Amino acid sequence: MLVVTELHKKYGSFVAVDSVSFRINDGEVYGLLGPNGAGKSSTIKVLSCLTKPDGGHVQIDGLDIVAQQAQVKTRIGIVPQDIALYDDFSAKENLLFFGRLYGMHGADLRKRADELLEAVGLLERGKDHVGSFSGGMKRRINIAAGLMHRPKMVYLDEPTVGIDPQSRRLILDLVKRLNTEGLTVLFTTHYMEEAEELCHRIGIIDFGKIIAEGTIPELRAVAGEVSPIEIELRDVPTPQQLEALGPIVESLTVDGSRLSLLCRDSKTALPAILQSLAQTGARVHHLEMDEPDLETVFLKLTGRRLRD
Amino acid sequence: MSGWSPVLRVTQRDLLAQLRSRSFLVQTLLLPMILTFIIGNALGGSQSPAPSPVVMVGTENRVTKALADVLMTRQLASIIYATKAAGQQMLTAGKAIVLIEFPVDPERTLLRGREFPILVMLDSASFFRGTVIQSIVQGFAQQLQTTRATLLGAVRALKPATAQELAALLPTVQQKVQSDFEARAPQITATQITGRQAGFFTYYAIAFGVMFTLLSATHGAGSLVEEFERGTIARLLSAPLTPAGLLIGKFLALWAMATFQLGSFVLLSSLFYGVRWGEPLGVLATVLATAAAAAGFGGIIIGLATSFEQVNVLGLIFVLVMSLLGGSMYPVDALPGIAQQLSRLTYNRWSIEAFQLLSSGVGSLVIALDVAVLMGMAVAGLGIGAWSLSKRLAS
Ligand SMILES: Nc1ncnc2c1ncn2[C@@H]1O[C@H](COP(=O)(O)OP(=O)(O)O)[C@@H](O)[C@H]1O
Ligand SMILES: [Mg+2]
Repeated sequence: MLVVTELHKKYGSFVAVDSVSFRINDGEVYGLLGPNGAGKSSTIKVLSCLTKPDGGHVQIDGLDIVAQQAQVKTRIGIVPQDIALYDDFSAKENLLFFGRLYGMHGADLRKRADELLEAVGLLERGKDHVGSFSGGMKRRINIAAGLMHRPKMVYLDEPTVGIDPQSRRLILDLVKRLNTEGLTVLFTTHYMEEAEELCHRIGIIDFGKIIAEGTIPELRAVAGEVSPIEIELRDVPTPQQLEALGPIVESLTVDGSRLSLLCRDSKTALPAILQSLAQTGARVHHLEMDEPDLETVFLKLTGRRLRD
Repeated sequence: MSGWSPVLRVTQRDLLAQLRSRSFLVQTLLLPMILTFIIGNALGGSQSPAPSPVVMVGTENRVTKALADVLMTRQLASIIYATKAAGQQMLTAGKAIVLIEFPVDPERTLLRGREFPILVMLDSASFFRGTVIQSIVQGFAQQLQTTRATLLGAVRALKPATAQELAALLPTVQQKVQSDFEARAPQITATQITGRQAGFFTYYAIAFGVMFTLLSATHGAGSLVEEFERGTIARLLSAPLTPAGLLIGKFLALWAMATFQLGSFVLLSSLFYGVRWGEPLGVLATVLATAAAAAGFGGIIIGLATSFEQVNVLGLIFVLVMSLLGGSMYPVDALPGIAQQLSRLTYNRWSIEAFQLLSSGVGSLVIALDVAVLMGMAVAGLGIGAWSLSKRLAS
C-alpha cells in the first residue's frame, strides 16, 4: 500500500507538487491524470527515491521512502516517461543488467528476462540492439526493464506517449494482465480514455494539486448534471457570437471553428444555444452531445481542456 | 547502504560498453603509440643510433687509445678528451653519456703493480647504451689486469734470462695466473649521475603514456552524463544503489580501463621501441597507481560535470595543466622554481618520477612514496567526486 501525505516538491522557488495526498491500495491501478506540466513526473520522481520531498511523507507498506530507502527500493519498479535504456545493448542485455542491479543472477535472471520479452511481444527481437527498435518497441522494453526484479508496485509514467496504436494496445493490455496477476500500478497519463479504461481510481492533477479524486463514477458525479456539447461551425465564430453564448453555458472553449460547451441542463440549454447562434448569424456544421466523461470533469474544474 | 554487487554491475557494464565502442582501440592504444613514436624519433632518435659522445679524462695515451679504438670500431662512441670537471659538466648537460677515468699514467701504474682504479660515470638517461659501454670498459680492464699479472708473474717466478725464454714461458704462466685474477674483481667504480634521468625517447614514452592515461580516464568520465541523457540514471538510482556507489562503480571501470591502456602501452612500447621500463613488479605497481590516480581525476569530473562540454573542458584543463606542470611536456627540471613546487600537485610528476626511477634500474621500494601519493590522489578524487555527485543529486 502506498500512502502519500501532503507531498511538496519545489524546484527553486517554483512549487511543482503542492500538498498532494493520495493512497493506492494493493492490487489497484491508480491513475494520475493531468495535462503536461501538472506535476505527475515530479511526484513519481519523489516516489522513486530519486529526489527527496520538500515536505510531506510517503510510505510504502509502512516504510518511509526517505528513512527506509533500501527496503522501499526493492518493492518498487519504475518505468520513466522517457525511454531509459542502453541503445548499444540488446534488449535482453538491458533486461539482464537491470535485473542484476537488484542482485538477480543465474537461471532465474535469464528466465525472467525471457518471460518479460515474451510478455511484451519481443522475444524474437531480444538479441537486437535497442537502438534499432521503433518507438513502440522501445516503450515495451522500457516497461519490461522496470519489472525485472518482480516489484510489487510499478510506476508507469506516461507509457503510451507518442506511439503507434498497436503498441499502445499491447501496453494497455499488458498493464491489465499484470494487474490481474497482483501487480499494483501507478499510472500517469494525460489521455483520459486510458485512465478510464485502466484505472480503478483516479486523481486529477493540475498545477501541482490534486483537484479531484475517486472512482470513475465518483468523478462523473463531480461533473454533476453538466453535459458536454461539441459544436463545429462553418466559420470561425466572432466575439459577438461567443458573447451571446456566455450567459447560457457553464463554460466555453474555442478551437478554431470548434466550440466545446458545458451546460447544466442540455434539454433546455440546447434550443437556447442554437437560437443564439442563429440570431448572430453563425451556421452550425456539426453538433454532438456526450455523456460527461473525465474530460468534462477537468473542463468543469479548470475551465481548460486536458490536452491544451 | 548499497552493497557491492550493484556497484560492480555498473563497473561491468561500463567496461563492456567501452570495449564495444569503436573509438576504444584508437583512443587508448594506437594514439599514444603513434605519438610516442613520432616525438621520440623527432627528439631522441631510437632506430639507428649515431655514436654516443664519451668523455675520456686526461689526454690520449696508449691505454686510453686502445679502449677508444674498441669503442669507436663498434660505432658505439665518439671519444672526447677533457678534464674531469669539464667532462662531468658535459654529462649533466647531456653532451656526453659516459665518462671514463683511468689513472694518470696508466702504463706506469700497471707495471709498478699499484692499484689501478677505473672510474666510470653513466648518464642513467642513456642507461641502456651506457651499460653496454661500461661492460666493454669492464672487459677491457680485465684484459689489462690479466696481461699485467701474466707479465709480472712470469718475470718474478722464473726470472728468464732472455726474451725468448720469457716468450716460451708466458702461455703456461698466463693460464695459471688468470684463474687467480678472475677471482678478484677489477676495481671499476661505476656511478650513475642524476639530474638528467631517462633518455629523450624513454622519457617521452613515459610522459606520453602517463598523459594519455589521464586523457582517456577523463574522457571516460562522460559515461555519467550519458546515463543522464539516456535517462538510465533514474533506473540506476531507483535500484539499490546510492550516488556514491554509482560513482565508485564508474571509478572502478575507469581504473580498469586505464590500467589496461597503460599496461598495454608499457608492453607494446618495450616490445616495439625497446623502451626500458624497469623492474616488472615496480612497473606493475606504478601502472596500477597511475591508472588509479587518473581514474580519481575522472571521478572528480564525473561528480562535477553535467554535460559533455563540461566533461571535455574539465578534462582538457586537468590534462593540459597537469601535463604542462607535471613533466609530460617539459621535464620538470626545466620549469621555473615555483612551477617545480606546484608540480607536486600533479599526478604526472609522481608517476613520471616513479617510472623514471624504475627505468634507471633502481629497485621497486624506492617508488613507494610515488605510488602512495598516486593512490592518495585516487582516494581524494573518489571522495571529491562522490561528495559532489551526492550533493548534486540530493537537490
Ligand atoms: N528539474 C526541474 N527544474 C525546474 N522545473 C522543473 C523541473 N522538472 C519539472 N519542472 C517543472 O515542474 C512542473 C511539473 O513538471 P512535471 O512533473 O514534469 O509535469 P508532468 O509530468 O505532469 O508533465 C513543470 O512546470 C515543469 O516545467
Ligand atoms: Mg511527465
